[in-house]
Amino acid sequence: MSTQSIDYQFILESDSTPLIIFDNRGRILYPNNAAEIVLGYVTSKELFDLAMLHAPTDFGSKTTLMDLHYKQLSFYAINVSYNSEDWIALRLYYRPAIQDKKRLNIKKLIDSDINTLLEATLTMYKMSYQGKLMLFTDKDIPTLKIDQNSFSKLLRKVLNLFKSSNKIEISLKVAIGEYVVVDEHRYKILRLEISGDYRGVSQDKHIIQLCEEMQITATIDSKKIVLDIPFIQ
Amino acid sequence: MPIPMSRNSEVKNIIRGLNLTRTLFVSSIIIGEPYTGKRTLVRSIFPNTPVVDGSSSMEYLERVLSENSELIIESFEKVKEPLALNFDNKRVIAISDTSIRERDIDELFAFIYRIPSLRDRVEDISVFKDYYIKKACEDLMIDSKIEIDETYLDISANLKSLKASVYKEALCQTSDKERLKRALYYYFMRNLDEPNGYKEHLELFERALLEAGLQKFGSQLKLSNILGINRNTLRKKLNEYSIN
Repeated sequence: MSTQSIDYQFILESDSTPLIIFDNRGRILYPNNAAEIVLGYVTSKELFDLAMLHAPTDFGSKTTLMDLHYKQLSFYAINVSYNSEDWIALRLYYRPAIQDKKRLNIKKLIDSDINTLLEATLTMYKMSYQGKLMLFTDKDIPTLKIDQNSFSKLLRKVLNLFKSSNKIEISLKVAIGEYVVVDEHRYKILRLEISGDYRGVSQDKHIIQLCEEMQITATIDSKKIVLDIPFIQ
Repeated sequence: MPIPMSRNSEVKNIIRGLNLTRTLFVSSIIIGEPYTGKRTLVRSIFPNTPVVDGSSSMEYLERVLSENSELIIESFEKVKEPLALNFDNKRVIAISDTSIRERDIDELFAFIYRIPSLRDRVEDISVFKDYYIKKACEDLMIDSKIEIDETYLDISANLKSLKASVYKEALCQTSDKERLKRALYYYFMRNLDEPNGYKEHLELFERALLEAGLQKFGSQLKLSNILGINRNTLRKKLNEYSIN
């Protein structure tokens, strides 16, 4: 069979390694599906600058090992290639996720309305928080299986870090098109974002530990905590 | 007689929070000074939930926890090894005084409520005063109307001392002559041991008589007539006790 009939674009499109092709001014000519997710976490300018910095001195391809993090996305290497002055391609190699020895006992998880868990925690939290609290949630989120006690404990601890913040914004939504693999099963992601103008750091370690136990991915920024919850139904 | 609802916003929030967790399998704790109404509040929201005392042995607590999907643990501060308890998929409502270790609370409980003491929720004092007045009238078979000035109420031990002070005041206001005589008798039996006792204890009778008389009749002239004593004698007595 001739290789001419092979649809290379289709293969690139469905590759799990993000690939972005820029023109010589940094405009994106082509991102594959995996790259579109990355572009939700980092600007195209930042990625173009990265490609320019690590580009081979002449036409060709160069792979550089590096520790690269964009929020919860983690990469161990990049590859920059070009054989024309008109375009430059950047590939980002995902760091393999360390297999957590802890496994979720899904049979022990309880069908839960996450909005009720959130409301109960916020009712308690408002008793000691005087600032402005804004909640953006989708009331129609279906029930999911979760350890109600641990999750409520996690929420309390996360919210307590924002006690000195003048305002807190909380948003809860299903992350469209994003998935997480837990114990060899792929699940949609329920994303809970909590942000404020100030955040304490005293409980960060404990929060990460609680998240690991529940297979929740926590992204901890200076003023924001994002919890990616596996949407187990 | 139904126990009145608190008017305090923090207590209302605790009630709301506990109501929201009624269907959830989570652990909650309500912490506060003794006699702030914690137990009554929890039992009113979870009337059919089994109750166990924290001073029970660990073996017993663990067994009761494993046998029940929901449980109220009273006097949680007395649990010997709180961190050994497993609350997974249980609805646990613990009640504790303020002596419990903060680290244990943070480790064990998802929902932590702190009920304010009565001195920090003054809006509740009149609510519970009225409730205890009604209860005192019922328990002590008092028919007459009782009004209690809040300065005579004792809230140092929260609802317990409030209730005691209402009952004592109710008895004070409704005691007949015979009971007053007996009350004085017991008082003198306890306190009459210093020299000059006659003069000193006469005040018990005279001061109350003069204060009540002046309040009731308004003028010294009228009071001296009612008491059948000379006006100068009355004025002298009023000065002696500094009654205006």
